[in-house]
Amino acid sequence: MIEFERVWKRYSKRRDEWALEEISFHIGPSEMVFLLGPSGVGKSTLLKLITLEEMPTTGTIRVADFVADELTRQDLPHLRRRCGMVFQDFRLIKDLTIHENLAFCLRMTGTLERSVIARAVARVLQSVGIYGKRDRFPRELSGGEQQRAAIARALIHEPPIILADEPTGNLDAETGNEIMALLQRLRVSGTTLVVASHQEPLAERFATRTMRLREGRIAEDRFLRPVGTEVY
Amino acid sequence: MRAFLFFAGEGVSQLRRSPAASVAAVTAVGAVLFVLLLLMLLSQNILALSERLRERKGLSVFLDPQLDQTQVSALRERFAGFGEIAEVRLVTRDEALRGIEEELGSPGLAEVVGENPLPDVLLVTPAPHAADARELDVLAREFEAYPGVDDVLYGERWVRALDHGLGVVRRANALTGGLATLAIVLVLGNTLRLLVLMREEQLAIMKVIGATDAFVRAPFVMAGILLCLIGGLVALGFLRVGFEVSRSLMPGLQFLSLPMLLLYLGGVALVGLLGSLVTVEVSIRQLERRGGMLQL
Repeated sequence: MIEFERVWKRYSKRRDEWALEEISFHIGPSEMVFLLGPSGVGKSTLLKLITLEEMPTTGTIRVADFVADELTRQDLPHLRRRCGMVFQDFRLIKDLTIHENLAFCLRMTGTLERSVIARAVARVLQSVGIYGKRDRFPRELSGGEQQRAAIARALIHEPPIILADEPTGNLDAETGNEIMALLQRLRVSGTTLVVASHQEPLAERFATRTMRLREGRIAEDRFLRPVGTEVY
Repeated sequence: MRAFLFFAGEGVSQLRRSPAASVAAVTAVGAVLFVLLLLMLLSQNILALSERLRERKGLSVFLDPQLDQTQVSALRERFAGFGEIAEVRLVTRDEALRGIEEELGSPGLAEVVGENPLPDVLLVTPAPHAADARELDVLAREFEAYPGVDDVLYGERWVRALDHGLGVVRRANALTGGLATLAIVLVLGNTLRLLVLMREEQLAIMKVIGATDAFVRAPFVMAGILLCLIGGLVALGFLRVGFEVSRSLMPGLQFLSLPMLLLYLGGVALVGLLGSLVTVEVSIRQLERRGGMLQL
């Protein structure tokens, strides 16, 4: 599903300043992998490498059926539609309602029929529990509701992979748990999740696997529970 | 078609989100295009006049203003005696001025220009066998040799004189067209860059959720085309108003023909399309290179 093979990433031209060093792993279907570690260890960079927002300096990345080295600029949108993204700051389009935010994603891929869009948006919003808020603007929702909307947007194309960058970072503990429970339901139904977080208790509770990053390297790769397990 | 309407709607949304910048751009584009339209109108009317003159078969013999009535009459009788001439009619300078006033529908012209600048003119109608261009040219040269004759013009010569004027207007037109294109591209460049910058966060989100380059760019390109077309139509509206006002002074004026209007609007849309494609591409690439939210 997601495979990194001896991946190195450097932002500056200085030879000794590596953001990530010698990263190799394979993540399969229905895994929920937590990338752990304090700020600046390379968690977000690793997520950006998966969606190819950043290109590796060396090494090979395979995501779904895509191989980074073989991709053209035109292929990137197709890769990104296979990877739903959830951010700490939600990144919803502020001047669109929740319904419009999701509809926008469908129009982007050529779905222009209103009734088809309405059905798809309703289905996804119901699955994350905010269908009743569909006509609100993001600023009119609580943090937890905005994150649910962001998850709904990530799900609209039914991607096999969801990447979440500190998805509970802006939420209180209770709401954070609700969001993680929602993500877990996706995992159980077959979606692969990669979550960058510094909240270890959440990882212990929900992850099937944790990767601890230290100074740009994977310091620890731990399998916590089988992929089919649901935690309450 | 549905996709086109969707992107057109998105283009309108882009403009509505930045009303001040949009109005400024429409005004600038409209002003530039108004100058272009004015020159197009001028060249079309000169062309039409040229066509009308080409069809005239007579010669106009312009006489020295110093000649007195006796000398004028003598010349008239002498020309009338030519075998190739069917009729010679004298149009005095006062009659000529009244004629122009009538043609332009401007009765107060004499008062505006002060002293009548026109000379007496002998309008010479050649006999049917001498009405072709070569015979007229021979006659014109012959008349010109007479003392008291300042100039002789006939259809082809009028046309040549007008062609020269038309050439000047056309060159001015081409130059203005080029400058207008450049000005429009610059205006579009600034406006679209502003729109792109204002939407930077949204564009970044779009790219992350899998928008294609075409989907990201299309609304801005549509906005650019719309800016040009609206500016073009505003300029056309002003020209029409100006034309209606001028027509009461110069009834002979013709408005731009339908093919010219279609050519104009097509050209404006094309410049809008190409200008927008280039400027949107440059703006987005600049954002990407800057390493901002849009970085790939």
